[in-house]
Amino acid sequence: MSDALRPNTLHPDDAERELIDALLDDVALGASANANSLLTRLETDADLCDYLLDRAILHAGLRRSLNRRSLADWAVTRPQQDIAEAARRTSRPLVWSLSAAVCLLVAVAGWQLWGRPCATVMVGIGTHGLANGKSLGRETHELTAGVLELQTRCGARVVIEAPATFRFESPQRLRMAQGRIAADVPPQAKGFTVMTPSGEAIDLGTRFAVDVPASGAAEVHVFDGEVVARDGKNRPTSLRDGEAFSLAANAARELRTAAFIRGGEVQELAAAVAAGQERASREAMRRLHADPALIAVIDFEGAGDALGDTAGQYRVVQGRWPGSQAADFTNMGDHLPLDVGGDTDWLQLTVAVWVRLDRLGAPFQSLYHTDGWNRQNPGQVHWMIVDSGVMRLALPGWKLAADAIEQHGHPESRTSVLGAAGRWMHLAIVYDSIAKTARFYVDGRPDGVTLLAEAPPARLGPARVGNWNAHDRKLSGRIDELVFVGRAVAAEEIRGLYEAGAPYRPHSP
Amino acid sequence: MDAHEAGEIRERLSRLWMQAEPSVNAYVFAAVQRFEDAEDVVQQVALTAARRFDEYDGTRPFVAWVLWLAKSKIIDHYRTQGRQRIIFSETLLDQTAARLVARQAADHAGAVALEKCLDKLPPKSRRLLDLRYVEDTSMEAIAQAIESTAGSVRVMLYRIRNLLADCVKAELAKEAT
Repeated sequence: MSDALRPNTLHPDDAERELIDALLDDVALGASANANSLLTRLETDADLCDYLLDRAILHAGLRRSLNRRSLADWAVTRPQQDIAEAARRTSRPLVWSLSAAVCLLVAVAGWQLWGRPCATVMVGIGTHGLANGKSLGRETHELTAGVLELQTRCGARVVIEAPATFRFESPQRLRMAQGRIAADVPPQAKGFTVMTPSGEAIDLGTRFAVDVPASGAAEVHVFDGEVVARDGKNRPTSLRDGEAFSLAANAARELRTAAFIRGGEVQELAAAVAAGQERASREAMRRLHADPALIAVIDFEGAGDALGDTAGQYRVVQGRWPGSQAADFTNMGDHLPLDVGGDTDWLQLTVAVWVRLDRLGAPFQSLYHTDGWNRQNPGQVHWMIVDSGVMRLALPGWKLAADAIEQHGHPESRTSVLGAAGRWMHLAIVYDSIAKTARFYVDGRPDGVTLLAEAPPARLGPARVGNWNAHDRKLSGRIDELVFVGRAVAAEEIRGLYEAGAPYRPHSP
Repeated sequence: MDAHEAGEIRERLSRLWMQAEPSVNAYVFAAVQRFEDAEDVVQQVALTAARRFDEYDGTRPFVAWVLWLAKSKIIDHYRTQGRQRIIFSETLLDQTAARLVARQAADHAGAVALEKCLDKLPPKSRRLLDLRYVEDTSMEAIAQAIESTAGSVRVMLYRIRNLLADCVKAELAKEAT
């Protein structure tokens, strides 16, 4: 397929057909004699008319396919590319699938709608230049930090979390090169479509989300209602409540309940930032760093982090604050290797972490697992969430007190930390081999204490977060700010850590 | 109408629209020249089909009904555009619609075949197609970009499309055997 580029003249038989290409290509034929004669011939010559239609099918197919390919390339090369240029290049495709169905506004406003803004910013948290009330047209936006809640002209509520690159092509079509989006689509906006480099999701009502990583497969998650997913080859798959789908792999995924920030949560996050919580959190961390008993802080922000150059297998995503970083564990085998606490016997140990966890069916999510754990190696710390959603501390060499109420032989918390819709939560354990207790805290509140008859000192050392043995104890969700302290932090201090670090307005004690 | 009934109607509309969509695209892209205009018209057709679905007579082919809707949207569009543009007569609009209806129902095999054929295309040809279909560049501007003439660009695009059309045909024939 290589001689097409040799420019020369056409055989006379081709002239009329080439004129058909000129017509499709919008070459200014105007009311020329050529054009009029072609149009007349098309009315009477069925073969020529068929040729026109074949050509139009190819023409429309090329427009669609090349635009999709361009978007995929754009997503890959984006950091090096001028976004304004990319915006111009990725012009509208024509995938008006089933649906663009019933944006009722269109019924009223007709085609004139298309010259008007596509969406309005309802809430912008840390999104510089995209303040509340700003109208979005068809330009490209690059969101390097923060969370944005938008309302489209058709009434869909859309939350986009950074890092994200997106562009509305119409009030009903959103093109995402990267980012996480959750949409709440009322009946009048049915047909709202999110296009990604690896396919698209068409909403048939009412709540769904799409995760478009910088590289790798985009995923569609349906919380409520129905969505049609079309992969890169345009194969449609119908998804319903509780289902998730990888567009590139054309395969089902586990629903990630916590991966997306949804409508109601945005207001709470905005209120906390407005109330100065981010500053309070930084201040609390500064105080913690001055604590002589501090063993390590892993905050994923780079400098000063106990992680150093350790390579793990996880995605870096936005943490609790606009532009901050957290580790996201999504696939089996994702993990963070960690080596803190050395060879010390920790008579008292507090571990606290901010998490955002998916409610998975599979048992046991790993928060922290030392590599050396076995029953002959007393004190090795394993901290996890078991299938009932409560925390467990498994530490070889302990023995429950005679009157302990725990049913599974391990210290466990009381209430499930896996909610229906994932949110940021603060979890903590305080282990005390002197007082012989293991205390659990959820969002600063005590959630159970286990009394022990025997309690060896705690041991840390080489360990993993997010997994234990490569395929066991998978964690699904985000980890932000993991803290180890070599003393039994008091209940009011734990509450203080929670209150200072909460990305929501903290509840009253 | 209860929720169950509404769901069934919705599914039926989705199915029918998916089948008819390639024909609507071909029809509108033939009659409306600028990409953005054609895409807007197709969307208008989709929205109208959804809104007026209760008027559709299920004993007739859906594609005929939806092309009839498309015809009136194309005529609406002609009213908004300048006189210097190409305008299909009603006779020609009817003729092209009738020929599309007479064709076998389009499936997505053509789109899959086109993907394969695009993969085989040399980079220079792909670049030319990108300039035309992604960047929506005029013949004159493409000619400037590749240091050629507008006439030569038209001939090159014509040849590339011929190659692709032949390739798609061959791929579909392979599928059929």
